[in-house]
Amino acid sequence: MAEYAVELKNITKVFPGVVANDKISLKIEKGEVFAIVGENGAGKTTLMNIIYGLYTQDSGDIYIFGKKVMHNFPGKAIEMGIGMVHQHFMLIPKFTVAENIILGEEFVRNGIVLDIRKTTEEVKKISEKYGLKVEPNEKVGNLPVGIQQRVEILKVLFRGAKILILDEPTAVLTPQEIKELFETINALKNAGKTVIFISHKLKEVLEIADRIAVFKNGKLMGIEDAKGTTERGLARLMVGRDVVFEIPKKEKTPGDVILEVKNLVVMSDKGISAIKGISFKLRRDEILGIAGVEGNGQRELVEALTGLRPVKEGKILIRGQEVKKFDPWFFRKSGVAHIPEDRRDRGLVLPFTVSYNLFLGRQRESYFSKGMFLNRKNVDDFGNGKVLEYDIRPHNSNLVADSLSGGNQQKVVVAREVSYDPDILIAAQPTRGLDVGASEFVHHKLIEQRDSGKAVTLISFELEEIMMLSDRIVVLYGGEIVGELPAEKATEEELGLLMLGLKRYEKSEVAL
Amino acid sequence: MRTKALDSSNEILNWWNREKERLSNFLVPIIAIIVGFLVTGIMIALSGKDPFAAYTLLFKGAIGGSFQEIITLKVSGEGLLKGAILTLTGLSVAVAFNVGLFNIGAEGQFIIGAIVAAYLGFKLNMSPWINFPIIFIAVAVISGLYGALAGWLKIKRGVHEVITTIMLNWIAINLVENWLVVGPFSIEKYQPTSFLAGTPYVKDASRLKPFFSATRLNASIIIAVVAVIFVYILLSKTVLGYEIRATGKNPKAAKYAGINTGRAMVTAMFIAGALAGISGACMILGTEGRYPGVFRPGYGFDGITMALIGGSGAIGTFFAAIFFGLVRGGATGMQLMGIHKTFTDIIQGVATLFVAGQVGIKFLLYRIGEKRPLTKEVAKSAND
Repeated sequence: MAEYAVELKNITKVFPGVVANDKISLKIEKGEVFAIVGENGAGKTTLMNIIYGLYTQDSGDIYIFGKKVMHNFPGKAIEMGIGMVHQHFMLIPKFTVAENIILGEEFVRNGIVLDIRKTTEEVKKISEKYGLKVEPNEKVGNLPVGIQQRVEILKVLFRGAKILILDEPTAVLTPQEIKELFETINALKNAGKTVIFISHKLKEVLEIADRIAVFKNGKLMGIEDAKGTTERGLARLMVGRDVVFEIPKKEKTPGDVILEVKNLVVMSDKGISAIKGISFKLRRDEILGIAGVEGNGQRELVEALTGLRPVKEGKILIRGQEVKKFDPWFFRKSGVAHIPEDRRDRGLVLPFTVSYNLFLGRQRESYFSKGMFLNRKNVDDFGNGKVLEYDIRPHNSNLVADSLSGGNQQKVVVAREVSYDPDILIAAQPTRGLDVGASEFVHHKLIEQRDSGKAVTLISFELEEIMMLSDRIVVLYGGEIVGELPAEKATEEELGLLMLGLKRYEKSEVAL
Repeated sequence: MRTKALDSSNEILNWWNREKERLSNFLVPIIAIIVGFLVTGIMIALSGKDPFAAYTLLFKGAIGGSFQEIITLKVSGEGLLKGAILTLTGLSVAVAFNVGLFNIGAEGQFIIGAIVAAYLGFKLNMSPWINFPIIFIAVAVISGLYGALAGWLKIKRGVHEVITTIMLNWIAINLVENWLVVGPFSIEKYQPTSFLAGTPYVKDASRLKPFFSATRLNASIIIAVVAVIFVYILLSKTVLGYEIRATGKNPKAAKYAGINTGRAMVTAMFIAGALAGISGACMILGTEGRYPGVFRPGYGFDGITMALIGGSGAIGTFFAAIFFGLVRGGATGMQLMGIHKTFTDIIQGVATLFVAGQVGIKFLLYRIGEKRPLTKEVAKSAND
């Protein structure tokens, strides 16, 4: 009998109210890249935590390299050759790369002194062995996210992992970093390691995995060979219905200019100009996509357009009126709504209930207040209405926002922002970290806004999203607009060249 | 069979998950207080006294006594009076906590309120119906502005409120005790023959008089209860309270949504200052009768403890304050057997320490409730 790296037999795990894993049986071969996909809450992470020993299954058996595992816990999992790289890194920023990698397994000289030279050497050795380049003496805090992740992987390898579990490793990475990660994964595979790759991005798993397991509501829906399936096929298994990748849009010709930006200069937190004199117009009935690699001024642009960051030079005109007061309240009053890129950090007051989050910022409107007091009845009515209208689950507007899944939290944000009935909707990374179903929902809402005569600006690092939704696309590179083109003329190659700064349209071409 | 057993155990778990936050918010302070008593008991034992006898005296002094004594508030009156003063400074700190600021300045605001009440108390010479409103409004406004100053410095200059409120405390203490009380407001200026230090006694019409002859308990307790109701309604029912809490819980989100977070902070600090000031005024117009030469009862700092143990809510702060007020009132009883009454401060200190470490206590509670090893992070990932 062939020996599998991991074999699961009828694993069941029940959490209060949900069956997180329902009789999961699967076999993962040695040396393969095995992907697990599924919507948020499908039970992927729970299963990995069981394998890693953070949870104990209610029933079922686990075999690692053919050996049955009893009473698992992380220390034992590490001993058996399982390593896990979490979505949120567990590194100490003030320590060097080498110090982080050896943490807990220090080389000690004379009983007390940390042997720095040996540490550096060992780290160099292991990084060369797997072709994962790192600078051992660099402080981790100074490294980009992609490299930090590499350090995490090295940390796991250093402890002798033969099976690596990567939990949503691409969620925090830029497209370039994803490419490098995939090279890393291939190197690990060539070195004989087994990689378990958890994701909800179908395109990625098709590219990197050998086999793909699809989870839904705690059940294993099927295991597919990456070569024999398509995005559409996986999506159907995942969501349980056909997912519309192309959303129909009404034929529309863009209307009046409603937002105009002239020679805008915005400074970053570090005091250097992040947006260097850009100009563009936004019209009714259109979605303007702003494409670009992360860190090219998107954040500063969005914050300037919503009053969260002062404008250094240039003008913003809303309906032809120049904005003089740069504060968020003024922008909201002028009809600008904003889906922020980080819903947990900025979009929600997490300890507040869903209904309290749904009218955040509108508490002084006559509907939500009676004089100095909140109008609790209307607040509740509004909350309950939106929870049903947007299918925010669970259907209970009195739950604390923190207890919702990412997709449902985003629905709360979208519901609130759309309910402002804004003329201008600025959507920054509106589907970041969302699964296929929730993304589809958000996309529908953006198109609904456009179709009803509103203007939408979509800022996204995901080219696919930009191309699917936009009527017109501008590309941001190094704080400047390097190209502007109608969506039907945009190709991935062309946009890619612009995004990487390898091509640039002249001013006359930009004007539209 | 198995599924049935699973169902009922699930129900218990469901209930636990739903209620654990609320339950532990309630249990943590109680456990903290119990631990406080235990640790203090050990210390009493170490000092060679009998902790059981000491605590018996403490509780007798706090609430014990004959039925008649309790009814006439002969025993508990002193404790309730202390509780009222603590409630007001506790609410001051709690309101500031709600907007996300740490008001260490309650002590300074308390002193400002005290001197304003002392001055107006001997200057105003009208009927109580006119005196009291004028005094309390003046106290609220002046102490309120003193508190708001720290909020204003925070939003305009970005100075941390802990730094400014500590500095404002010293400014208040020196301004009042090294200048006003020995200079312009001093009793010598008005009654040159007096041997007292401090300000003159407030007029009889401005005194908060004891309800009963047996104790010094006065209208402070009514003022404290009104303040509790006011803060409760403010925080949970009003638009301003909503803005204050949104700012405190996530200032970035509040600002993004268009809430004027600066205004929320300054307003909350104004209310905090006013509450601490009223506390000082109650002390002067009630028990003290004037601003004495040296007056640093520390109630402002004790307010931090009350707000922490009370979970920054109006009702919780009230209960914490009344409890510790009674304990302090009873501590006088412990002195009968030679235990200094400051031993009760140890109870308070240890309890605060435990509430401050409540993340740890909650973690243990959750663990007992679930009987399985759970780290915070894992608990989180269970949700997705």
